[in-house]
Amino acid sequence: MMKRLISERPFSAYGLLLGVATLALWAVWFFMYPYFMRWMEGYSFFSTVPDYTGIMLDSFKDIPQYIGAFLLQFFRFPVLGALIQALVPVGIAACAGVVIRKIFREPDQLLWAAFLLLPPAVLLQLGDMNLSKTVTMLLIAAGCALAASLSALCKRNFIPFPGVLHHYLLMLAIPVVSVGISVFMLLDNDKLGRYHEEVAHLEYLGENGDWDGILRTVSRQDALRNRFARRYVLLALSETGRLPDYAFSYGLSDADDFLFQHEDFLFCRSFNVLFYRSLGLANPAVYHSYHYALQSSYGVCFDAVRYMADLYIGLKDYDLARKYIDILSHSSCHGRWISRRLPALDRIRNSEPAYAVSSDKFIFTSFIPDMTSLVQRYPENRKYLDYLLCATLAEKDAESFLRAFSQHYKEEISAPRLYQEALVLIASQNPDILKRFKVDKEIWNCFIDFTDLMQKGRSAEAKRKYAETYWAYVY
Amino acid sequence: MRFNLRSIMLSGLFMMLASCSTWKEPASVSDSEPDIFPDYSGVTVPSNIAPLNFMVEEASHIQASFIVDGNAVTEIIGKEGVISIPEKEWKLVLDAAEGSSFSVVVSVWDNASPDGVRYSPFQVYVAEDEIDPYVAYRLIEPGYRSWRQVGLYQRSLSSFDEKVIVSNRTTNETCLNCHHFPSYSSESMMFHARGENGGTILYHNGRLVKINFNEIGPKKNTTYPAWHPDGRFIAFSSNSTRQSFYLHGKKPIEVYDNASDLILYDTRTGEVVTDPRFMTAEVLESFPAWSPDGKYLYYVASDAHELPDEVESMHYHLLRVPFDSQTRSFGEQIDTLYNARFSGGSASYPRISADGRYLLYTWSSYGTFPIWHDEADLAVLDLETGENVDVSLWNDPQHADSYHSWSSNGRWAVYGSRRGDGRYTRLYLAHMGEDGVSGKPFLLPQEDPRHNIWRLKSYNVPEFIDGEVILPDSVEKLFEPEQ
Repeated sequence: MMKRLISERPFSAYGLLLGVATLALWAVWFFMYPYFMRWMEGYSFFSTVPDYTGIMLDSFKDIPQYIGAFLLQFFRFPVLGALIQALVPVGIAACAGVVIRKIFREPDQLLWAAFLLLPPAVLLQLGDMNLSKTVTMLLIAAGCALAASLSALCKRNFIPFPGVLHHYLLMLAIPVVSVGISVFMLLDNDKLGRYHEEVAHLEYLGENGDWDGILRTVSRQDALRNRFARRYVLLALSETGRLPDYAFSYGLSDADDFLFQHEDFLFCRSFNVLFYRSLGLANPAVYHSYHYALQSSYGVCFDAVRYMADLYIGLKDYDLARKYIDILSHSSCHGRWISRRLPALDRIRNSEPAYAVSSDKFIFTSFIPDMTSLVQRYPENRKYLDYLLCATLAEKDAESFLRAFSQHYKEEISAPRLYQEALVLIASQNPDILKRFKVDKEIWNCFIDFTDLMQKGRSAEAKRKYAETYWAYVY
Repeated sequence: MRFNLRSIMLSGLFMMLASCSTWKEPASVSDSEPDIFPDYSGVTVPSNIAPLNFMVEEASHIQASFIVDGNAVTEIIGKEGVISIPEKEWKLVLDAAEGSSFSVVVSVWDNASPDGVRYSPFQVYVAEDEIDPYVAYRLIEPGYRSWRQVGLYQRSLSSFDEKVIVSNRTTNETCLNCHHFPSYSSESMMFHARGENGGTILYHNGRLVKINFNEIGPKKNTTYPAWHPDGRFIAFSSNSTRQSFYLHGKKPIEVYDNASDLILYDTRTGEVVTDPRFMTAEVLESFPAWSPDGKYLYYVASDAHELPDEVESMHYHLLRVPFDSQTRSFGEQIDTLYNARFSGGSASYPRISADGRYLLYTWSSYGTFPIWHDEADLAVLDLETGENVDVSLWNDPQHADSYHSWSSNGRWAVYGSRRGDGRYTRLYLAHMGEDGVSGKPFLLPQEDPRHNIWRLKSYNVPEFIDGEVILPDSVEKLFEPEQ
């Protein structure tokens, strides 16, 4: 049937194959990279405000990036993003088809050649965050198609093609192989990759406050392997109040594991924004939002603008919240997002901004001093305390741990599991500790068993049996 | 029949258009003034300023009459709540009101007043003093250590034309800062470009050069410049500037200098001249500014402290030292014009008016970088009497009012203020009469007032200039990697 279709109606067959290619590429993008596409939208920016247009369209060579920015807005909806990502290479192949039909003799038999452009076009898409390369190629292809169409007004179908290439098998095999290679490249893509999709997925869950979702998604192995997964899962533990029970189950080994203190790669800043938002610290959240925006090739990005709009609504800073919402209203896909926030914006219209009292402390020194000052200032805040205590445990700094612990835990209160495990460990050097703090009998028994196994030289078994304990981390 | 149909459609279209732009009679009258943005009520403007377009939020229909001496000079019907005054008609209003004032009667139809309300007129005073034709400034994201797009721009003050002088797309993505012009001249310019292949760019006497101050003389970096009126010397402060970030509160950043000295660059010889008094670690000098006759160098100075912990102990005095351009040397006596130890607070950015009479500076409670200090306000010292001049009208007590410049006739000041939204600095222009009486300032007019909201950049370092700056195309070559 395919043979008949190709032989008798090659142009229809060509159209059908383009449709199949679109569907295949759409499916790969949609099912494999939905969160990465969302992230691409968040990392891009488009607005019809004159200032942005003026900066973006500084010269002729900016046009592809400008078009790319416009298209990226629709990546907020993965169905549309996948469609755009599929249509760009297919569009390039379609333009090649126009050129073939205009300039070659017996063109319909040669339309398979158009599919040869599919893999390079897909290759170009990989890592093309702002779509400028792919839009450039699409514009070139469209230009060629237009030029061929215009030249055909004077003279058309003037280039002969060897007859041997007019074979129906080529019309079938080349498109199928091209689509296959394209799909394979997308699936086996190092640059774009599952890694980015995985992190973008965690970022999506974090932005939506789906902390249980993060805990379900990230395994211990994931946390050990992927530093983003480790930080997201630690953040999720903190948000759900389980940090002092499971921090060491997910590879916590350093105070810097809680956020990206000294790294500036993709995804780092947006994680830091979430981290500081979770702590209710607006200043560092805004700081990282700015830096996140500046990393983007537009100097501003939707994610950062959305973060800041929400932050300033939370701070009841009407002027700034309104500014960012107003700017977002000049993009194409924020209608619903804005309408959900308008009631809150309206409520703060006449409010006094709710900034915390100014601090005399500076941040970004290092994690433990920052948390120490926060705990001193907000002793009732459990998150700050848990971060401080877990960080001191991660650093194996028993003295700092004990100092902070003894200031905030009373004798009669049963402390979370990890803290009790740490107390037991400290008690092995300083038994008086146990006169001041309560340790569950069950934990004591486990520790006796653990040390027993260790003393018998069965450390592997001890660590396996008590893998999630602080003792396993220390030894 | 076809002709008739077309006529009907065209008539309908005309009626629609006419209904959109018809002058209406409001149903009620209000005693209050309209809530317009920007706030142009009671401001004093120069006679050569661009139209003061304004808006009323959420107005479905807006109209305004511009009245001089009881006569309506022009009547404007707005669109989307914005009154855009054509330049020709605006000129008629300014010409008629020069030296006196005009009033604006605004009528608004909105949800609160669906049948329209005519507000009480507001006044705009038109000074006879003209303002310089251009202002140059830097546009950059507000705050923090990084940048993406940064550029030095110039804006015609009698129109809405804004052009780039140089941007970091030309300069290999360096950060651009501290642009400066000698005596308001657009024929010469300097700016710093920080980053790879950066340096201090000097465009003077038709020559464009890049100077690396880290490689000449005392090998000190250069920061805030002051070009001597005779064009030969540029005084620089050499600052080691740092930022620290607050955990809480509205003020997110503290910017301070770990060290700062004063040096003098001789553009004729290419030498850097130093005075040991201004090179010590114990005292931090900054923000040099020349008197219009070039005989004094004004600057600020504070004792050094342990930073950032003791940043609140940094109080900068306002000082001046005589200068002899023949011998390239500074005099012995240093006068203290503002003693922060006695008066409290800290002084920044001294600027002397063209007639040499007024010294404009920024006062803040401490430190050297007041744009992040909400309490920062402009202050003026009368150098003849030593008295403070009241410029409280220029200041917003809730927000920072900072970096400023005088116009070439000394009657106008331009400065940055964060009163709009607390974060994005916008430019305000303020009048000071010969008698030292200040007028209410006004926001730099924009073709669409909403531009002030939409712009995601801050204005930095506004400087008046006498014309359009055109840098040679070769500026790009200065930033090419050295072979």
